[in-house]
Amino acid sequence: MGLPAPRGPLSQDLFAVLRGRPGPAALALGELVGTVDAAANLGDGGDARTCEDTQIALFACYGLHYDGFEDVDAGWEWNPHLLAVRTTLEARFERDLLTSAGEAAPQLSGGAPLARFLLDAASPAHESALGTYVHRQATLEQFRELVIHRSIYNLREGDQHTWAIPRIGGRAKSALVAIQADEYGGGVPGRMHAELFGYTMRELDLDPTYGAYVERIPAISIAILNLMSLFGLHRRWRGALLGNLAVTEIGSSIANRRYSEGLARLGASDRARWFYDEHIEADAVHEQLAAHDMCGSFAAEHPEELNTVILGAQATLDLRRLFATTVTDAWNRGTTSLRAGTPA
Amino acid sequence: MNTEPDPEPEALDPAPGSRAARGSSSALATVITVYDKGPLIVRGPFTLQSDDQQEIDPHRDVVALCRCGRSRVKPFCDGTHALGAGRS
Repeated sequence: MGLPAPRGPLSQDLFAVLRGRPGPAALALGELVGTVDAAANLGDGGDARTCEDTQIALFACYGLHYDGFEDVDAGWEWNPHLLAVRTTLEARFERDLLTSAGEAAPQLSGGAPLARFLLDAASPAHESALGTYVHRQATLEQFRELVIHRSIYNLREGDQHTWAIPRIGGRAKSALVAIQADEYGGGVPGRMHAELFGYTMRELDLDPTYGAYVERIPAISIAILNLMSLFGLHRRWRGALLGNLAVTEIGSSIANRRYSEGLARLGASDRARWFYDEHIEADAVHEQLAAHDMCGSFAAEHPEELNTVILGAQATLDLRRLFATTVTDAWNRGTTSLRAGTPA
Repeated sequence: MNTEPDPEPEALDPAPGSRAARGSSSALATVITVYDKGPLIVRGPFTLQSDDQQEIDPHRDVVALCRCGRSRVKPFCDGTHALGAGRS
């Protein structure tokens, strides 16, 4: 994909620089660092989690560490001037993530209590209004909207958590590798979860090219992906990345069954439902491995990082709730939950 | 000329690379773990079959088997145990 369109003064300046060579143009970024707050309106009251300018800028910074952008020189990836801008953006993002997640963080010690906490926090018993809506009443158009929101993550599902593999060891690492092997289809071409999501998109007459709908995807959905990249690209956040993966897996079997049944209600094909059906069995394994073997073992070995696992889990659940509310509020008003643009 | 008889065919040996072959190494024992308020997780080589000896494809190397009786994809777990009683 190419760089997306800028969404404010910050991304405007940043993307203009990124289209140049990572030599002299880098100096212009030095000035940008000092103006992030003002440019992206992140002073008092601005929430970086839902700031369009901030999230699209972070998406571009992180994208260089994955597949990159056709119109950006790969030499930008480790450019110190660009990393300085990214660090400033991340500081605002972290501030707003922790403000919400830190408030409710419980005091726990030991791997088993942590596993139980995670299983309860993300339990499918607290089903979101969005899950119920999709299951019972979403139209095909609304289901396609949901798929578009998630495409920015699900077409690359797995990659964000792979960053954790070299950063942990022992039983936690074995559990993570078992989960990731499933995410990547056990090494069988065409079976990666990301590819199954592509089949769903095609069956719903959507374009499975990565980034095809990025202009229509709002900040909150991009923030869900950026959160994983933030946790994945910083070793100090490795526990948070594990917490993020755990609450992504926990309860996912039930949620995916609801989505699959929602699609069946809408008359979608078995192939369209494959992605969701695959997750019903896979995630029933993953949620146990993630809670007990991965997070529990990690916390037992690194008790000083247990709280980071909790923060990662809470920040993830908070973002997910914010996303669910944003989407259902729009649908209840009878409007689209996507940004304005060409219809999907 | 080698007059040694061919070695006895090891008819019971599973195909190289199969689940059972990997189990021939004692380092790869089958372990079944009972998870707190959760399923049984099976790791290592195993064959899953129905009561009429039909093999059931586990679809993955590590599987979760239902322990609560409420799964809709038995013998596998589908996470239903985590819903309150009566919901599924």
